[in-house]
Amino acid sequence: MPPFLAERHHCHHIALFTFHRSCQTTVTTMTSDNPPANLDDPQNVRRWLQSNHPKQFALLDNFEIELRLGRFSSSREGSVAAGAQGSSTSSRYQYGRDRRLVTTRTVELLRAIIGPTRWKTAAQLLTLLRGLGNELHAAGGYREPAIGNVVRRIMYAVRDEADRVSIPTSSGVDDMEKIDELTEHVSSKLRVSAGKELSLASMLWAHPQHVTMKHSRQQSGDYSDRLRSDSMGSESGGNATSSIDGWDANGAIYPPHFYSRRDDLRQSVMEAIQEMMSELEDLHKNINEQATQHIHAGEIILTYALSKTVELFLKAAAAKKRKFQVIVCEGAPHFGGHSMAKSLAEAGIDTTVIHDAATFAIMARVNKVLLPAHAVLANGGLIAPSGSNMVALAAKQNSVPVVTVAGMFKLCPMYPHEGQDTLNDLISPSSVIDYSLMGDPVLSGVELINPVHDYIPPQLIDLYITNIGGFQPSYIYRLLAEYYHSDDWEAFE
Amino acid sequence: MGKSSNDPSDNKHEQPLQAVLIADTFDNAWHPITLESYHGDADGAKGKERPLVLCPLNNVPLLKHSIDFLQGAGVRELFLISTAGSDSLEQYLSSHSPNAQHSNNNNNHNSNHRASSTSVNKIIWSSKLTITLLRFSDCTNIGDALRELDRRNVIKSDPFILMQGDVITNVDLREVLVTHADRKKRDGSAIMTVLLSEVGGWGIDVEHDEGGDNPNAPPSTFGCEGNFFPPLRSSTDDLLLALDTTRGMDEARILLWDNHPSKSNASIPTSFFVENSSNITLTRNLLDIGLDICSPDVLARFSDEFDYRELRSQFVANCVSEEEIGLQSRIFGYVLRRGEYAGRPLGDMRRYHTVCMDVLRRWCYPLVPDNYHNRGSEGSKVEDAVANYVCERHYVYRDVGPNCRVMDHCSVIDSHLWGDVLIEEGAKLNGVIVCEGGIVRKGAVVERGCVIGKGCIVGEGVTLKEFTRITMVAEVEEEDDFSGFDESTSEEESSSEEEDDDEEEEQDGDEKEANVTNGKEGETIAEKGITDYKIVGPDGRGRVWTPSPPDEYDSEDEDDAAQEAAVELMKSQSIGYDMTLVYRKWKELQMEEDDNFSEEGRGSDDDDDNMDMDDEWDNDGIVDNYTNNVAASHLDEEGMLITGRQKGVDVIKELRDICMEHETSSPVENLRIELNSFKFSQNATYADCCKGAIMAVIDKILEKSESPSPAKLVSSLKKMLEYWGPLFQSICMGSEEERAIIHALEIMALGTGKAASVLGTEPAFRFVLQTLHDQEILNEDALFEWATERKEEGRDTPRGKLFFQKPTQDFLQWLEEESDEESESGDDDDDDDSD
Repeated sequence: MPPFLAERHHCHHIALFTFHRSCQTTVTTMTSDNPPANLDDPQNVRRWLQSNHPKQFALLDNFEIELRLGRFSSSREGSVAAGAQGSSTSSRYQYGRDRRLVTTRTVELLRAIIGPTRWKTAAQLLTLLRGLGNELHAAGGYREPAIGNVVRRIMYAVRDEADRVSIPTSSGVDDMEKIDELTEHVSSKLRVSAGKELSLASMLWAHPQHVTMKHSRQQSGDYSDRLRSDSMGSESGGNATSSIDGWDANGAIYPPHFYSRRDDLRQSVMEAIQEMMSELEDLHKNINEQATQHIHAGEIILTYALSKTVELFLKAAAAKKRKFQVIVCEGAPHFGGHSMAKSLAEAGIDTTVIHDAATFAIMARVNKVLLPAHAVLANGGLIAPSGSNMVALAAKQNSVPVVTVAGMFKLCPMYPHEGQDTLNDLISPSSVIDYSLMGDPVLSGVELINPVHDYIPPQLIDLYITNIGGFQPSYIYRLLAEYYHSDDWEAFE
Repeated sequence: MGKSSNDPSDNKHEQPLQAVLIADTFDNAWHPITLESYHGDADGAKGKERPLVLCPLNNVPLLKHSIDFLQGAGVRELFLISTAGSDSLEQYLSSHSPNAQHSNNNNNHNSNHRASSTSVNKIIWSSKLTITLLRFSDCTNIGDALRELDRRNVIKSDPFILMQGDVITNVDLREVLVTHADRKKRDGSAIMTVLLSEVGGWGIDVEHDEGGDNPNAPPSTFGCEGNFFPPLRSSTDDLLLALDTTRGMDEARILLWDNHPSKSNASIPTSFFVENSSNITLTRNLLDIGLDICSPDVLARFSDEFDYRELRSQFVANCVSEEEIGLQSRIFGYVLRRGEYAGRPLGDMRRYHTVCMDVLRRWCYPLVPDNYHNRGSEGSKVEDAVANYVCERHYVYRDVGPNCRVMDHCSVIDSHLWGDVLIEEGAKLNGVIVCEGGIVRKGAVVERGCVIGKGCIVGEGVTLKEFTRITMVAEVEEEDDFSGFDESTSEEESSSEEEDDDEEEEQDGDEKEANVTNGKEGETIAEKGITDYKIVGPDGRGRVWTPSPPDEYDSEDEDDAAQEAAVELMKSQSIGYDMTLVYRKWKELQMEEDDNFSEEGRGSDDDDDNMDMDDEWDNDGIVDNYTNNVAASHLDEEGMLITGRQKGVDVIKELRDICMEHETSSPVENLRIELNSFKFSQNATYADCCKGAIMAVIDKILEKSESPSPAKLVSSLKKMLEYWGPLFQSICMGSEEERAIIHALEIMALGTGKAASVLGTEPAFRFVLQTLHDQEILNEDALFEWATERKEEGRDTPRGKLFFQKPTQDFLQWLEEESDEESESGDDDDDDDSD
């Protein structure tokens, strides 16, 4: 057994045993008194939906089943949806389908659930979202980090709106008092924790410099400041690591004004979700606008396997009459590179397909490497199709710049603590070897491993091109602060 | 959600999609585990047998996988057909549905009166799926169950999914459903789509296979190089399919379904080649995964044919071989795509292990353990909460259930621990299934293929020999349970205890089985209750379970052989069994069959030994009237199928019987009419009639006198021909029929028994030929044609020896001289003959 797999199993083992214990204890408490389902604990979300909103519950159920069956990862989706006009011959686990689909579907689901359900306060809504995130994560959402990212972003938007709404209503005397109270509360917390908790990191969070960034959402610096201090306040209330466990311990995990009822909150949250939808729609347009800045005439670009984003990026450059050459690695064992090459050639791009092993040999002639992304990690590292680490290393050896194109929804607030196993998945070996060969008694004893992704460390990446501009890997963690609230980072793990 | 509108069930204004899940395998491959109680103590009340579908597969009950799968396929209403253990099933369903959130832990206590108080077996599993539990407790086979289902008239959706309870698969059914529905719209007779998976057929490397050593003799060797044993195939399954692939593999119509093992030939009606214009693929690579898309017509068909018991070997096999166009129901195959996996873990334990391993090896992705490990959080289910398995250096634990404890220095390899299992220090397990509450004490060694039943204990330092199954179920109770759902075994159980003693002695001699118990110990077992201390040690619990042979073996002498076959079958269904041995047996069978086949071409009709061999592999309880002579006798001498002939009819033998039964008091013309009509009904020839008639004549002579001298034979033959002569005159049309008479005589002379000894002695054959010639039944031309035929054959073969007998040669020579004189031609021929 290769260390790769052994390590993975080991981790499972530990995690599962601890999990099991905790699970059992919650069982007993839950069953003993059978409380009516309230939106006070993310654990109750499923029950709450079931008893109060069966329609939304059914939606969630459906979504989870499809997640669990890997439907969203299936390239067949299109053909079935189109009404079975013959069967697609493509392999089941085609890499590089448009991941926007999953994202869009998730946003739609959340909108459908949040819109009509009867939550009252921002805190309840956050609990609901957190519960949903957990549900989706458990149902296989961890394979598609974009799902968790979307939930986190909506949570951020809710916090955002809740804070924003509190400002215009502060004209009244009562409200003013409330605000004073609040600031006092926060500052006192700050003072208490200042000794040990005011680390470099928390100072960074407290004074973000990204307010000048061009960004679709309008934020006032004043407001952002408040948000930061809030987050820090809550973080220092417990200690940073136990913020998940601290959920049921101290009831007030959100700032006090989150618990007051606001009628306009629903409206503004829905608007924020709508904004996110339109951002997703314009995603490729925004990325592709930058194409000509990065792809120059006469360049030789190397790309790996199949990616909708990369494909459209290259096509956008070609559409602007840039002449360049593309070398596509076929991307064994899924061979997404083949369809990629076909699609590029159709757009009139000079395309060459090479097998993966020839990457190193050809790298000396390449001007730029363009990699697809499955997820972008907090340290600036990249999760990309299995085999692309090799490409990145070859590029490093030959000092060829490596550029990644990715939508911002691929930005994950997590660190690659597990090395190559981070966010990785092992899929059916059927794309490596045919099952009918397993009848051979010798071969059936052979372990077959088919990982889907590679982790590429940040030092091998030169540039991320996103829908809000180009960034160096070292800047990624700042973007995180802009997109997610630090309390939500580890909400679903 | 946009997605739901794409479900094939939604865009129709008809019934929502329905599915039928058959939660029983109707065989005894899983005994004694299936006989144990599922809930409560080991003493298990009646009707509390463990339903097989609740067996854990990597710690998640199979049923859960099935339900999730069907839900994903868009099924809205599921009918769960259960025969044994319905209560346990209902309890599971009502407590584990995602809707029953907070009812789990207390459930074990209050479910009993809950189950009894509610007679409604409808369970709302989720917002999209309703499960109806149908208790067909008196059904003993799939056929009965489907007929009962049809009677209740609940299946409305067209198509519906018919699924065996144990199918583990990741196939995307939506596409298959759409294809089926489209096809049904175009062609009303396309009533069924069978899902097939490509796993490869049996194969053995003849060059490497010396055939001498027993690969199952310890120490275990893994099969020879180049052998091919698809692990998902049952040891009794060798499916041969003929597919009409004219319109590609997706529209493959099944033309032949033959899943009997050890066949050497198969027949396809020629009409299929004519009709299907034609691109016919014959394959042994495909495996039936136990999942079908059916139209309700299938159920109706079962009701029509009340004797169908099996879905596959009877219904499908017969449907596809129907020739009349009007009656045809077309059955199509759908071959799983690459990346789609399907296995049936409950076929037997060997396959259970294979499927578990395949799931762990992620062949069935996304159905993988880590996809299920978090499920506990939502429903707080302890039972299926954790699917964990642990790999440590040198020690590999497979499938460790909840609350299992494995102490230090143990080696647990390829084993399945189902929960609450304790493995003490230094125990060694290899290829073992340990059920709930099983304990393996210090230093015990359990070898491959063993099963440790619920609550059983293997004592300290005990070594369990391979393929031993230990259970706490009492023998008596076993009988009761058997009678509940397995008629084949219940009959056989009645054949008393003395048989058991026989069995055990026989195994004693074999020294293969661990249960080395002689008659004396048999008594102590009876006295001390269940536990078999000799086997499990003084601190152990449990008795050895021995498989029982199926009911075909009524006579006492066959018991031993039958028992041995049953044990062998049980072994072949256990973990770690090497399939080489099974395959080799098949090969031997096929060789014999081939021999018989060539004999039959010449009209031999006796292959009793062959049938015995065949039945030995037929003993999994499936009554299958397939015999080897059937395979051959409806073929002509070149092995071609004769159209219009009923399968399984030996024409010559039938004709001969007709002649034998004929009363000589009635005019021979009646017999001629009778023969003629039979000839037409079976598309036979006059030559066949002649053969039958002459055989009957000789038999009649021999009936009267035991072993007549050649002279006496001739005189009685002459007497017989006075009556039979006119018949031969009328059915012998030409030299072809006359030669058939000579051939028939030859066969009798070379066969066995009285006829051979009488006809084989030196002048007899010549006298018979001469008499027939004198009576003007045999013409010179026919005799000469026969002679030239035989001359080429040489003197070494039996037929050659018969031909070159001195008297026969003399007769032929005389005959030629005679004809020469008549025609007054040259004498060259004489010289040839004398050489």
